[in-house]
Amino acid sequence: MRNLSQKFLTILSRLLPVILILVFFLTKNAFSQTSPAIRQLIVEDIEIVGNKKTKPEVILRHLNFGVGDPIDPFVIDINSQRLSQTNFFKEVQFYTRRGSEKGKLVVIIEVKERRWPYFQFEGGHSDLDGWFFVPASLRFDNLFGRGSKMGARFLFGDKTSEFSIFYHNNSLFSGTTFLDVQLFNAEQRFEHYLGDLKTEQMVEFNGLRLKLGGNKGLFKYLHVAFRSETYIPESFFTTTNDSIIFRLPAIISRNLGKTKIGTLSLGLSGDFRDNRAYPMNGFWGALIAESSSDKSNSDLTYTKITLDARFYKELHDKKVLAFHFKGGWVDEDAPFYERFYLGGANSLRGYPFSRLTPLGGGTKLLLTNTEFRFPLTIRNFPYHKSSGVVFFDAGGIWMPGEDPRLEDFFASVGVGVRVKLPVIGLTRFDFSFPLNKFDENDFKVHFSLGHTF
Amino acid sequence: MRKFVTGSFILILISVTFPLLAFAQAGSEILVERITPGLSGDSLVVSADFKNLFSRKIVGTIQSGLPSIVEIQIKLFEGTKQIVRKPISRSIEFDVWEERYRVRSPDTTQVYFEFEQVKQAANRLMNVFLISKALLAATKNYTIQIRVGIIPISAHQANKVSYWLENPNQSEEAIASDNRSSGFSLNINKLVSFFVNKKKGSRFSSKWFSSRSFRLAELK
Repeated sequence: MRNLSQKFLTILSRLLPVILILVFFLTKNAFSQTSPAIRQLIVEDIEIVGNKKTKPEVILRHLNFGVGDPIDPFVIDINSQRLSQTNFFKEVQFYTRRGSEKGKLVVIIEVKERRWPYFQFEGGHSDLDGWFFVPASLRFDNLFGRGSKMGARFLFGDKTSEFSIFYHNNSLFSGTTFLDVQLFNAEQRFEHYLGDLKTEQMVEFNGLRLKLGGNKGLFKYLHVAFRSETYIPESFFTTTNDSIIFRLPAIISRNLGKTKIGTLSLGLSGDFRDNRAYPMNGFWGALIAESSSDKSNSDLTYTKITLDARFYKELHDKKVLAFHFKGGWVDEDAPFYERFYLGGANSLRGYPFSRLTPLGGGTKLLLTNTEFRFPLTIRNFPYHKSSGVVFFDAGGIWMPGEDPRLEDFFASVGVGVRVKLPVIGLTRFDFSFPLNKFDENDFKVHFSLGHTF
Repeated sequence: MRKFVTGSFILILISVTFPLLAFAQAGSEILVERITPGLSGDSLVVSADFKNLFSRKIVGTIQSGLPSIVEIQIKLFEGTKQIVRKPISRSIEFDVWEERYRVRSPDTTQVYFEFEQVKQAANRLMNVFLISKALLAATKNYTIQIRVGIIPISAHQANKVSYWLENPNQSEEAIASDNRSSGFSLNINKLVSFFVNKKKGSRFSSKWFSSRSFRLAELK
């Protein structure tokens, strides 16, 4: 087993130089400086008015410009939006006035603070959670004017339900560090395939999640996290026609008892995309190593490594080639709810969710998504209304004892549209064809939110 | 006696404070005055004057070099039925290096050297074409409604609630192991205030102002 793990790590390490070269070439534009435009207006000072409890540094932290930086209406727009979306303020208004010399100006940010807790409706979609809705979360954001976020919410979804209390402080140690704390009680539906038979199993879990990370300098690419959770899986599968299967495969039944999972993780992540709405150049990446052992108060001992990298390169006039790589490895002792899956709207799109996952989950995963993206409308670009995409997905998943081989890869091709809807935001429709025949399925439509990556 | 004195004092305070507040509010409110329909050749045209469009902050913003946009909306009603809706946008820019103002509309650019000239030009709507006379009935009553607003710096920020609805807080996958794709959040208080305030004018926009009801034969 250890040999296989080493083989897998060897493959990953061989891929690493290729990834680094790709990073260099594809992100070259994101790092390069464009020649400064002649006669730019420069920020001489930033004044904040109307803030009674909010510390000025909380507002300044949400801006992506500072004193000495060039400014134009687009920068003001972006920053007005950034401050509005904190939900700390009822109103945010930017003004400017002449500075001490020609070409310099003073930016005035006028805010009206929100004074009372407020309710928020939330919703979304993910492969693991399915569609989920939060009818009302009670928020106490910026209660003491230091920019912290806290609240409580009930989440209901077709695969998951959860009650959680959360706290986010973005200004620890003079704003250099953030802290996330979440206490939760949840239930999630896992899908398993017994041959062609689709079954479901509910897993109840509750616990505490802590995450500590940096905001500034090199430290902003790092975070450490701790989670202490208790899992109680149902001891049976249900099928789509409500039959119940009590005799479960060994790989599932070995993790049926109440299990404490405690993990410590270290994450390295960076966002170098030129914009988030429609990235045209740049790179986003995250590498996370997670360890579960008795030292972290866990009943099971295993290690999990996940690498997720996304590259964007503008080919011609807002037409973008986007590439996503995800690789993962986890020890065979990891329970099924901590393992990898393959297939679905954010995975291999030619197949239903988790359809390609071996029973009990995979311990090695390789997934690539390649997309050619092109805007269908360009008004308000990059916040335009719609864009189209042609994509190719390929990936494989393996069980303990299996070597990753090229012939185990599955692939699919397809086309999609992304449309920006009021309230909901970017909504995507993907039409995908599997290239490797599996079941009777030869066409899959996915409806989800946001870009795939 | 004491109750009477206290009660009277409160009444006097209310009667003095409210008109003052109303006056202060009216003083800063953007107004549309003298909406005048007219005929120019074979067309129905409209003229109007605007008041309080340029607050001190807006003037400061324009003179620092960032553009503001004047947005005018015009509606023509035949009885209660709307038959024309016409939006007009004018961008006001100040070139801080050349020290000249430019008022741009889709078809023209006018250059001024004094802000007073800009104000005069932007505060007037002169003989704007609405519809061909041939499409109107001589026996019907018509009304024109106008609303004007000024958007400091950019088109988005003054309409931020509607802009926010268009651009919700859609989150995305934060870390690789989350396997989360995307979600959205909708602040219910904001949504309620959006619908409550939709028909009111904001501090950057006037209410809808109406002309007197008229017939074609009454126009010169």
